[in-house]
Amino acid sequence: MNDSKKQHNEEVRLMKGNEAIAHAAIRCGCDGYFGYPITPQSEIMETLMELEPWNTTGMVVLQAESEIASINMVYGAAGCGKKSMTSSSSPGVSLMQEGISYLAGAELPCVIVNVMRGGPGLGTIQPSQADYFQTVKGGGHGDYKMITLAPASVQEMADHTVLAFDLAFKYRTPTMVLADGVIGQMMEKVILPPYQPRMTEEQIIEICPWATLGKTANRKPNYITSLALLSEDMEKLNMRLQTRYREIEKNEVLYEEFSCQDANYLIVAFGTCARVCQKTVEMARADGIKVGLLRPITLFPFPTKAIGEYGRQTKGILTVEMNAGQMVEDVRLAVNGAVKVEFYGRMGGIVPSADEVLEVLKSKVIISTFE
Amino acid sequence: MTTNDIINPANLVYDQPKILNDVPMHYCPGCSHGVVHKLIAEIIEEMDMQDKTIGIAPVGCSVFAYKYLDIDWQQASHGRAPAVATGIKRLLPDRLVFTYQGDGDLAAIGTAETIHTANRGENITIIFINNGIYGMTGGQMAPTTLNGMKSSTSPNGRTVPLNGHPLDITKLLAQLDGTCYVTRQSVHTVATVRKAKKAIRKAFENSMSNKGTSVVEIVSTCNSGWKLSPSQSNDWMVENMFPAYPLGDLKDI
Amino acid sequence: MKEEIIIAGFGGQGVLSMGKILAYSGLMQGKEVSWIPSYGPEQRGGTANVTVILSDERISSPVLSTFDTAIVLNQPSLERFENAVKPGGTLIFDGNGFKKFPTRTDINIYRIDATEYAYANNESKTMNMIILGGLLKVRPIVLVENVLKGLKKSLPDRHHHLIPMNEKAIQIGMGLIKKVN
Repeated sequence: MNDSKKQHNEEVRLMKGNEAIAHAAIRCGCDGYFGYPITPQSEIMETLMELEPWNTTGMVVLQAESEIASINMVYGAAGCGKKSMTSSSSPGVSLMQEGISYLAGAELPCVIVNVMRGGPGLGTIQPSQADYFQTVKGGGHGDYKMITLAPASVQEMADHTVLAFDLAFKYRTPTMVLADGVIGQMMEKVILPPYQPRMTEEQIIEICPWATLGKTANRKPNYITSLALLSEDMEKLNMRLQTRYREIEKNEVLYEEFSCQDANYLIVAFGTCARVCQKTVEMARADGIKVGLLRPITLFPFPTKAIGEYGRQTKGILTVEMNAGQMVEDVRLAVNGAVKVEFYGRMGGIVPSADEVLEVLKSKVIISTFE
Repeated sequence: MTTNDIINPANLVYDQPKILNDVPMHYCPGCSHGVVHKLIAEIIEEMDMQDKTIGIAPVGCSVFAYKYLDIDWQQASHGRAPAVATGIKRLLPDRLVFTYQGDGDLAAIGTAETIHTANRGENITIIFINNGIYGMTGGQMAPTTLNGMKSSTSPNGRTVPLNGHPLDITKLLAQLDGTCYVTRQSVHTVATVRKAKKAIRKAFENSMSNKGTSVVEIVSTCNSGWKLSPSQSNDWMVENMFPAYPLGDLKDI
Repeated sequence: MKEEIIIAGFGGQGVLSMGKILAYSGLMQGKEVSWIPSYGPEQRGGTANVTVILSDERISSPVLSTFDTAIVLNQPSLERFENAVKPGGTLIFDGNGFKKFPTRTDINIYRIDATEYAYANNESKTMNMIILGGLLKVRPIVLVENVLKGLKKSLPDRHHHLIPMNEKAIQIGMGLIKKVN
């Protein structure tokens, strides 16, 4: 993920994950950000307002009256082929679900950042991963999928913002950066991505011939819509989307392995939990336990194949999440019964500790394989 | 006089606007939508703005507006057309951006977006078709349904204790500092059609000269929903709707 | 080298910014660093804390339950974090307003009366730098010159004239800290 380091001589900076997203958005040529404040991600809009990119790259930043308005402003801008984004945290992202379904149905590219906090309801402002189902299984209505990137560091907050736009435009689909309060609030070293100019209208016309920029004499009018009252037409749209999702599954899976080569046991965790579990692996290895960590970077597409292979090679798998057990269902599907998949999770804004995870690994996974 | 004398362009008194597509409309006979669509088409053509115009269609009867006007369109989710328009106009400030919304879309589910867009003074035009009823879903009560007026969800007539008061959202929008032009028109006579056209043209010109948000309400009929003939509907509108929603400019700066 | 530190106290005592300065100092010294605050309403008058890790290696978990060093600036923070110090680790406290004192015997305990000193000498703005000086005296994890470089990087230009005052505060802290056990 640190390819950007090689590309240019940027200085190493120290900043919060939320701030890194704002900087990366400006640098990758984002045209518009529309958002509504909510903890723990408000620094994204605050940083953008502080940086005033409208004076430099021309990027528009607007504080909307609600998350509902934000996502629909994104829809309008995306319909014009503009690189547009919004960010929020769990309750706000719930409000956006209708708009996300429309974006998926209208085949519009955009980036949505969810810096997750604990729910349900107003919940807590502390970190959580309880929106996995909402994001990966389709939180809005209808059969759609969103490419979902799960950063685990401040560097990835920056890198994934850039990557999310690339994938969104490649596949004409809304793309989610699914982070959590820890990664949003944490400061780490980061090398910001290089500046890319914003697309010109000529480039938009070439890359997005469907964009509503005004009907010119040489083409038919463009309509951005997700409506097809004829069921046959609606089924065709659905089939087109599903074909695209299969392409995404084939081409875009990303994951990271840590100490997996000789592993007898495997931990699967994403985002902040993957950082915690990396420490667990270090501690377990010091105790002589051969355990590895697989960190899905894309949650959709999910690294099903890689996890399936570890299911055949290892004696036990532990999935660790900050929720009641969501991704574990996909891990179990990937493993398909080849090995027992245990789960450990904390909820309500609590981050599991590396010691807790080690204890669970020893008591639930390693013991059970001797039974 | 020969045929050629008659079809001489100098004698032309009426033509279909080129931007109005030559397709049958799905609107009921007598509906105001068709007239308003034609006015918009004429104005865009007269202003030579076809390649610079983006319309936002709502959820409601006019969800298919894009079939009838030969311009780029976006179809918004229910009530959110002003937010969609904001996203477009902010990123394409040299374009003519207008929303076309009904009373349910604009004054019920989308009230927040309507008010905040107008309050920010987005340089867009909001065309508001107010017929006091939900036409597309089969004649349910709207926020602008009059007291005593029957609808499928107020079968014995709207009452204040049950439903509260009809919402005069246009009056409310006129109060906001972000609006530059707020007017209420109708299209039931030749004279009112001409006035409505002038109003829409003025609104579009405001949008292009960045004066703020322009709102053109068209008090309209829904003869299907009202269960009256088109001409009865016009009479009923004049008699009942106009006293509650009087025609004229509410604001023009 | 790897140092896992928690700094905890009342909001307004400069806890988060002390952590930030430490993190920037680590950056200047070429370390891997992470800084994670407790965030939310506690910033506004309640208890605030920040976890800072400086390491030669890539940092795995930025969220910790035990620490090499804890700096506690109020009674609730002492109660919460005394037992989170690893055996053989370091606990530094500012005794101002404390009624109960640390009791562990398997860790190194230091007291620095920075609050008292700062108020007596009208130095309240640099109180957290006095404490940082104390930390660096007993745990020299970064060079003072890198702290000053870090300050220069993290402070806006208009505040750079305050750097000498902060350097002085670090020196004062180094003299003020005392081992208790």
